[in-house]
Amino acid sequence: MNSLQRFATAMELDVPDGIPVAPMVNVPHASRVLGVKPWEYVTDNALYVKGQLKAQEKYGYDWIFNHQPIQGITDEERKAMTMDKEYVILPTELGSKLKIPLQGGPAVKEPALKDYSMLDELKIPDCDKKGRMEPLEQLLKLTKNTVYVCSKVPAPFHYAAEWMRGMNAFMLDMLTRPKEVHKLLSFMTEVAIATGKKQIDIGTHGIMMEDPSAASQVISPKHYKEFAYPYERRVCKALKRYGGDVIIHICGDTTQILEDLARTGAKCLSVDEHVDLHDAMERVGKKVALFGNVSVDTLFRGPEEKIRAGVKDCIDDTGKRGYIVSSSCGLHSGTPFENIHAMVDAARTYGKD
Amino acid sequence: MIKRAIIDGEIDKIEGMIKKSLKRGTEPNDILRDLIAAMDVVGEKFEKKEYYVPEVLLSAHAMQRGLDLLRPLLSIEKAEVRGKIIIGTVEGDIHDIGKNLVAMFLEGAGFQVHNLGRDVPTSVFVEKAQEIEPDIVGLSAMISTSMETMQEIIEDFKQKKLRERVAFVIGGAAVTEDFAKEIGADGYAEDPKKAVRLCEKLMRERR
Repeated sequence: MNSLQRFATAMELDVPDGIPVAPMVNVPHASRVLGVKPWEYVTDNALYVKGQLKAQEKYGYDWIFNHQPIQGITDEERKAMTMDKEYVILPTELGSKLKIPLQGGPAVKEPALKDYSMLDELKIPDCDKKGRMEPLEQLLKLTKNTVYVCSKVPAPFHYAAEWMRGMNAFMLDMLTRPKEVHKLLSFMTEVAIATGKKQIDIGTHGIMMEDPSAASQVISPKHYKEFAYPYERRVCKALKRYGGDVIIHICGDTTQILEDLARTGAKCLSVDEHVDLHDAMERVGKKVALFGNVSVDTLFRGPEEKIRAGVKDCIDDTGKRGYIVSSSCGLHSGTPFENIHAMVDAARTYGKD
Repeated sequence: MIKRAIIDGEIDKIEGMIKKSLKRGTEPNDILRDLIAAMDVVGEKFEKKEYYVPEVLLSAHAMQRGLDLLRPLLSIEKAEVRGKIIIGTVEGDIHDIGKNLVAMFLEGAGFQVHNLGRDVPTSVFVEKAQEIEPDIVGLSAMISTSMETMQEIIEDFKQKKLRERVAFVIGGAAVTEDFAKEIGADGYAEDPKKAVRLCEKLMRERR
């Protein structure tokens, strides 16, 4: 099996020739692999593609995570990009701004909606804009169906909270103006479906939807069911109809909402280290594949023996059917390269059929 | 009544209730005591997972409105301020819900709190510390990349010879007790209520 077949087999709840391994290599790590600043990496489609390919080649894991939250950058956006002493500021299509520190570091978001009346003027982004899907197209073209290329759609709840309204305001809105919150969530659902449909048309192998704001450290399982679940489900069901497979990732505790998550229509659930993989496999393993959850803290700190033991524990907890070894969340920026090598090597050793 | 309204997050009713109570002749200090007691219950509910972030945030906002109303009426002597704190989410990180909750709880517990906001550059922490001379500096980070920034801030305080004058407390999903020790912070708290207890303990040690 090649990496694509191995990953796809696990997604079908089957046993591949070895357990696939797919660490969540994000902006800080991939840009470091490439030796460029995170802002350069994020704002240049060609560099972005190069970074993802180089990281996959370096480590030999089974997927490429096209994790750009706003997809590819268009020429218009690059022109509108400004730079001051400390930040690159990139306006995005729905009005949020991405602020990326020039000296390393991750991106900071400035929410778009000061007022819900602004929602009436928002349009679903045009996914056909030149450059928007360029990274995904390139990654699919260059890997020629040898690696599982996973694209990403914005989860309605998380993006409404963090990108559109800002977390504080959104959390209060849930209790004080639920009607408007639902209206925003419906709009964001359309955005996610339109984005995912375009990716499926291009030929993506899978679609990640990250919804960390819906974790049970933040909102109650009851609120999850009311504000996050219905929209996750609408996205998953719609994309399934178009032939797409969705992986939902929530960093944070999802123990109490696992059954609901498995009912969204997602093909796979990515869980973080708060979740007991053995328990999760027993509860939802017949319905969905599982993905996770080697501690990012261990991956950051090492030592290698502890990482290897962590990978082995995950595999022992899940068995070999319908499981993909991954990090519990996006990698810490300073994670040493050799630690990811150790993770991949351990998965190859302990994950053999 | 007022206590119940804070616990239930009756954000639109709280000001009216306090005004009414003052008119009836209740001492502002007694109302303040109610606000503090209410936030104590809210903190417990958060610990017991009866309340989550939205509910706690709503109660904290209700309390804030009450405090704004009472502040001019309260004769807070210097001795009554339990300590001065500056608090902020470190540069590169915009996650500030947890930090805001901690700030509100600390204020509710009688600390003088200077909330510097989110994505706060290291230089601003230093400048504010020079200006306000706080007892405690609170640093928050939700994303793991901000952890290194915390370490840089503490180093910067050392270089500027400010380190000995303040106690550092850290919190946020990215950090742990072990990490706090590793970077030489004076304490770590995982939720707002524990943060209040930690700051009270640090103040006792400082005296």
